[in-house]
Amino acid sequence: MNVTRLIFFAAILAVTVGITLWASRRTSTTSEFFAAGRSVTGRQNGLAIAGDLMSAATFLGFTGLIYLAGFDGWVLATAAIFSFLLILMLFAERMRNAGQYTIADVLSFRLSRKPVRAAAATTTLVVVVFYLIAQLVGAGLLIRALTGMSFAPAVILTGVAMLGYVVFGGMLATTWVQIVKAVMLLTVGAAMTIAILWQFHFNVLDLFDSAAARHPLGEKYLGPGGSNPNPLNTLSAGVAYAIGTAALPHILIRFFTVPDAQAARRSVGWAVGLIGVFFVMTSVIGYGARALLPSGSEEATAGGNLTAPLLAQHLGGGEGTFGGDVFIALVSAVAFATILAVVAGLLLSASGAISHDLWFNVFRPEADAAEREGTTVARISALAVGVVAILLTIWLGDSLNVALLVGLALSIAASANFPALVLSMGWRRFNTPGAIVGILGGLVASVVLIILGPQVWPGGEDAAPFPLTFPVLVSIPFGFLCCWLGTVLSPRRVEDESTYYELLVRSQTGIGAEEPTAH
Amino acid sequence: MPFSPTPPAVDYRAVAHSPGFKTLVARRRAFVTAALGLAVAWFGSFLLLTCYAHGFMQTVIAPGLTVAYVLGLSQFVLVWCLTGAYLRSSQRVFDPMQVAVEDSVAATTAGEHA
Repeated sequence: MNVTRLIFFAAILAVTVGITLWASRRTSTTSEFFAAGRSVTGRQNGLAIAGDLMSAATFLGFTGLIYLAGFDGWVLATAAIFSFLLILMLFAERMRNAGQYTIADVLSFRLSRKPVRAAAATTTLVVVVFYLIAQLVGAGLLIRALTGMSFAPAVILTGVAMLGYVVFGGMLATTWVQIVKAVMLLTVGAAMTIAILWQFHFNVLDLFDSAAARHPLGEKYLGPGGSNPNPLNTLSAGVAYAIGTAALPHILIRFFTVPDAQAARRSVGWAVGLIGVFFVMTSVIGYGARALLPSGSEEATAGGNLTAPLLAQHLGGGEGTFGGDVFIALVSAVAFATILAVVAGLLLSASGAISHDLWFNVFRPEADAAEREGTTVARISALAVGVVAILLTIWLGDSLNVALLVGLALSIAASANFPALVLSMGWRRFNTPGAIVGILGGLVASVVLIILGPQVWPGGEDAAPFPLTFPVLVSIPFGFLCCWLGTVLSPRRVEDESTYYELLVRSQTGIGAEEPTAH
Repeated sequence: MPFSPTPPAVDYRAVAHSPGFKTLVARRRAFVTAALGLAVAWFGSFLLLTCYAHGFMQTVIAPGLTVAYVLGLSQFVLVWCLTGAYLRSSQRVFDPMQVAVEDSVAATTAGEHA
């Protein structure tokens, strides 16, 4: 056990527990639990969204991929930043104007409520549980590598903290944990970037050149093709990040926490600026690790995931020095905070899908206002999903690939959520059967193709009936096709089209949107 | 607290067909179509080149700088510029048009209740 690191980890936990205690006194109604009373400002929400994207998969995963394979690791970062244009111009303001707590609100707005809601809630749960397991596995691996604690207790520790934030502090705690972490991660990233550039007299090209000189690929290390022999796999990974990111439930629900559409829009502006700077910094950190870490460090980075902490140790003075110890402890603790903050947001969106969508709108629509206003069902749902995710993670074990699971969650979100969300806002003829067939078609197609693909099918790449790891090139068009077929093959219903006008006016102008509560 | 327990009913179909609203939707749609079209074309070409034109992307412009990195960085610059342009247009063009629609709706519903 490393004492410096334990102190830093404990400090992070103490800060987040403090935030949760503060938030729990301000969280008693449903609107406060799921949407922080719609009191979050645009800038705060932008930081929180940036925090959601600056997850363990991007901070540890992207820097590791760049260190190992070069430019290919950075392509996913460009795809993720692109997806924010979709979020800004298609979803941000409309989510705030048309929805209440979940993306199923927007999908079921103009369509027959129960079946569409049930379908949308199902895909949310599938996406979130995939993503949650990915982050929990990452937490277990990270804590094990950095403190010597074994996998299962590390997952349980992370899971219990996550449950604490969400069950007691709701969206307010989830948002502020995310904001504090985003500021810490940006600061640490900037410190590492400056420390790396310092050694190259702030000449970035000199840094890249030195990195290429130390990689077996030479100059090709600075171009694409370093990791994946099949170009279709790179293409499908890029598309999964570019479209899937825009359809992630835990990111879209953040637009319900701001007072109005203007704030929703501004929060994307902040997020795009911060995430862009952060992703550019990951390229410096990843290439910096190649240029500065001693040759043969690949083994020690454990598949690339520990590249950033090891580089921090090196920059601080190396193993065994005081500076090295403190810097690796700091970076590791911030990585831990990243996972805690991201899993809390995921759990909250799953809790919304169960209590708001399934319980109150599908199974118990007769519940009275007092029952709906309470947060008991929401808190119990969060607890249930959290416990299931923790047990699944421990059962599936530490051999799962974190980046892969995230990519699969993105594929499902892109195939099941994205087509229906786009069409419900833009196509007047779109109707209930179209939405149900589209959502379920996209969900089933992506899950089946993942199972038939090289990562899950026994025998791997040679035996798999479907050649691609990420199914999006087939499953997104299939999702759109299902939406279209379901719509045109079913009879026209006047109600679906008249509510189209209500959704159109409300989403474009905010007339009739959920009001912010007074604080 | 700006919440009224029984908000007056809005005739959404009429609002949707009013000239002010139609212009708002048309102008916003034109902006979004152009911006997303440009972004999809630029990012799509970048992604296809990354996948299929390794030789071109690995071209070294200056020691340490490849075509791939320059095009990758240009994605961030484009996203920043388009985001800035959208926020600016929203504030200067779309928001005032939206307020005008809201005002005319408020005037109609108030008239009905008077």
